[in-house]
Amino acid sequence: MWTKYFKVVNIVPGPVIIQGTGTVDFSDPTLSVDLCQKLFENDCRYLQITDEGREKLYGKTTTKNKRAPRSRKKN
Amino acid sequence: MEFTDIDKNLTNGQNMGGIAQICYYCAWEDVATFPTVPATPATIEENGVLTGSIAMKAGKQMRSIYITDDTGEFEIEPVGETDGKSFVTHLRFYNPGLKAKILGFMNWAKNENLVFIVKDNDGQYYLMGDDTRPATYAGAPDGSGTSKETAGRRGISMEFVYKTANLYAYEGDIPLTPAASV
Repeated sequence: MWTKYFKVVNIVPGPVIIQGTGTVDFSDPTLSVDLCQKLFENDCRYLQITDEGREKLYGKTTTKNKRAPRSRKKN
Repeated sequence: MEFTDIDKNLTNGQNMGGIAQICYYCAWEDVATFPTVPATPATIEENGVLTGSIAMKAGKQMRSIYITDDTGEFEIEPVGETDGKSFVTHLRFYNPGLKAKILGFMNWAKNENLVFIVKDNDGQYYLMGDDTRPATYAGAPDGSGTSKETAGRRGISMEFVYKTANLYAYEGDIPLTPAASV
């Protein structure tokens, strides 16, 4: 499902007419991942990629903020 | 700006007249940002297209209006004196039925500032409204009411005008769902 890979931003999920594509309903869970990826790559301002999408579609792993290990106090 | 030859330029020979049977509107005050006009266009083609999309304020969206076929028109009227030329664009259409929805729209729209997005039958869009000027109601070019004959039609014709320095195609999105609060 595309919603694992992209998050809808700037609008309440619902229909938008996107020129060159037609009406895209961002509340429809059955949208194809290919379509969403194409829109995302065309700078669609309603889609934000998730960490999982970045990893799955672009093979990039997310660097999470890891805390430096605490030094143990010696008693 | 680079100038080029301007040929017949019809995509697949298409050049049907008229506009689609749906156009889109919103209140001018509900728009957060408008697309921008070309500042330093490299080509004459770039000089005829807006950049970006209309963005609505939180909770606001564009809505559609049905148009009876062959009653809709987007007209471009050049106006002004020498060295002061500009354009007035006109949107005219007919909505049938005389029902409460269209009466209520007219009651609201007649003195209101609006924005329209119009699609022509060649698939090109036009935006009526910018960050300085809205589209406004201008009248009923084909009359409104019940008609006299039983073979007539009930409904309302409407005309909206937008005054603009230049003409542009609109290649942005049309949000038919509310904008989210940031």
